[in-house]
Amino acid sequence: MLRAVSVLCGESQSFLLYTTARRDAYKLFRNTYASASTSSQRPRKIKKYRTTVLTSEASQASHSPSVHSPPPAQSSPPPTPPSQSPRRSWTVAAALALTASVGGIYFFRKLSEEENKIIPSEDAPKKNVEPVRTPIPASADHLPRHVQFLLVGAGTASFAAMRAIRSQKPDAQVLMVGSEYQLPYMRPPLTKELWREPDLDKVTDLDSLTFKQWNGRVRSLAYEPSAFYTPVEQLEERGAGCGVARGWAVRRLDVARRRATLEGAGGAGGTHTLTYDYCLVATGVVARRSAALAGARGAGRARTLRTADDVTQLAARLAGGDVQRVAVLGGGLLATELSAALAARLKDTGKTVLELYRESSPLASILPSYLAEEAARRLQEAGVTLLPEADVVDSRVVDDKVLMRLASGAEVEADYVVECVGTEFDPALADASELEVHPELGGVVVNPELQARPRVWAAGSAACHWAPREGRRRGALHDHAVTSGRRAGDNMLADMLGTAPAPYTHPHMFWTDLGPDLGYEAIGTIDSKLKTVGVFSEDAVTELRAHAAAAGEGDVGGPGEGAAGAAVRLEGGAAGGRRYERGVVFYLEGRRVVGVLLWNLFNRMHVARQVLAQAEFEDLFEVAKLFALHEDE
Amino acid sequence: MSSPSILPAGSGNKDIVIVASREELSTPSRVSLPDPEPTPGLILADGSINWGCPCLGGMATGPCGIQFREAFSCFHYSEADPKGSDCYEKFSVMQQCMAEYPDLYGRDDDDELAEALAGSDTATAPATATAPAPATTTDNNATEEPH
Repeated sequence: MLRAVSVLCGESQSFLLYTTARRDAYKLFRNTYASASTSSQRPRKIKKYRTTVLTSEASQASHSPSVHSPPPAQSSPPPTPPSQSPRRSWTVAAALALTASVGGIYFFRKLSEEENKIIPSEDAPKKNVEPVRTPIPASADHLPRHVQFLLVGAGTASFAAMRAIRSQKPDAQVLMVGSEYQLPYMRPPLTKELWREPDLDKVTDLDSLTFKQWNGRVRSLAYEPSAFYTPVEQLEERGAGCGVARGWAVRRLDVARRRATLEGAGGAGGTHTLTYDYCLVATGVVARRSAALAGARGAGRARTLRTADDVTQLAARLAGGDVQRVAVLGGGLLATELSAALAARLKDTGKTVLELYRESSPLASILPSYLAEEAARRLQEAGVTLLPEADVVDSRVVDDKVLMRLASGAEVEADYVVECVGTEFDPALADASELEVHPELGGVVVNPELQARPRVWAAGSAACHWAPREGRRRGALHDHAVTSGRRAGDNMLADMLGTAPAPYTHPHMFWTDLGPDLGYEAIGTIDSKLKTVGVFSEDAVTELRAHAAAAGEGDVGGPGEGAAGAAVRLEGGAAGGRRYERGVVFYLEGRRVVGVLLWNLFNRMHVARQVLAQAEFEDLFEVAKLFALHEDE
Repeated sequence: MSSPSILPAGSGNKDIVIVASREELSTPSRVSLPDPEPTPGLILADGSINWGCPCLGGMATGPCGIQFREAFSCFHYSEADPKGSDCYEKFSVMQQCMAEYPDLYGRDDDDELAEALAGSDTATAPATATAPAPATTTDNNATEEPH
């Protein structure tokens, strides 16, 4: 990994540059300035930063009030390297003064630019032919007999917990155990940016997956490269570090004895028992399968999409000449995001994307109907053919075509189907370990501090936690994985140090894109069953007829054509008949604001958080003014 | 100024849509919100280092985390003049550690280095003089870490 490391010490007035002049490497520490005061420095689309555990809050820090007092400004000559330095292997250069301002923050930015694109890597070990994959490490003999922190699962929640633990206790010994074969990676790009990678269908080394952020920077999907981690077989002898056992699964916890039983996820590697001091269950969820698609699945023409492996396999499948029309089954966030992403990818190939769902509009479970209809139009403009009120009851494959039979009796044809009908918690580990599972919501029942049992915590979508007013809930989105994982890690350490744990109170947040011209983000309870109040600037609302006329002038994105078939057009649909460009929507329970949706409105999440915190207002129009709807981006 | 209009939207009057002119929306709000809770940055209010700052990336938690923390702590709390000049030893130890992980800390982007040097004004002249040629021969092929 190529990495420039720069230290930005806002307000510190001092500039320190350490540079190694080694033949093979040099490092750079740099202090620069992060002005604490303005929002103008914030990224134009701050939402894009949330794709990582690491920078999600750094971007917020840039607009937070000053939190430290600046050291005195001083300008200094470069210090002299130690005279005995045999090779001048490094140079310290420069303390530099810039202008003083009242407050500031240290802001350390990791600029990690990956130059290596997705590589077809023909020489990488092929692992796509019905493999019994070899876990890493390959044998149970190489697993430690005891670890301080056992993190079950190697996804975002687990990674965030590891970060929290090791940032407070740098000599902590952490073992993450994941059933996938990759290093921990972030999931949001799986239905978004990854699909813009031209060679996605040729990737074999999943750890090398990269994607391009909104600002053009290439990021690695993996949170950290392999070198970051301690080889698992060395974890015991080193006593500190973080190892990731991949292709391994924890089958059972003996909570009383603090013992875990591991098994190779694919049956290889054998079984192993280890003891732990602290354990986190962060196993996530699995994709739900549609029983009606069993026929298509049996013929190899339907799949779910949950992992990076799923993504590359789907991409390879769609690249095949026998797939002309791909259907996405589901009307939720993932299904709509994926439909838009696939339509963009397949745009000039003549291949088409059909999204079919039970509801009358995509996203109908979260958006008020007028916005759900707007979302439908956006999807159509992005090239997705929509088939609403489609309840698939059965499927069969005839002549390499999937025929899906609907409850209405109609039959819909596609060459391949992606099942995006939600996720579910797999209770096997919890049941075997006598951890309580929530009967309706699923997930390991934990207290507000995310603890399930003595020395056992749970986080991410595997945890069913409790919060005031919200009651029991099980979060399933990225931001929740990050923040709950971090909280669980902090609380595990608190237990170790004998300090007080803190409750998890973070309101859930998500962001998404629908095609090139619409993005939205939301926080709190976003449920279309709730009453809503939406506020829009009048020039952001246009009557559909007027808009249709304007479309002829070419100010609207691509037409919704591109696919024939059984799809139903939604134009001029039931209610509304208006387009909504930008605005804010409040979700209400009684008089309380419990959720805020920012529709094509970025960099205002911090306002939404404050609105949620206060919750009760006389006049929501006055609250809407706080979102500066009159200002252009 | 006209008052905002309310449009019917959806069924059962569950959803209300308010449409207002930009002028109306730009008038000062009568609602004021408390200041947001400060998001702790790298340096906390008491001047101590927040090792949990997400802004640190993997620096504080990676394989050279301990060495990084010693060096950065030394620099942060240094009262020497110039600041940090008493930390050579610790930075040297950190760099030795980092040299063992070229995949992780291996090479800086040349543009980044150039930018940093340019931005650091005259004080960086010595660094410029000793900076190596662009490290094009480094670890492009060494992305596989032995296990």
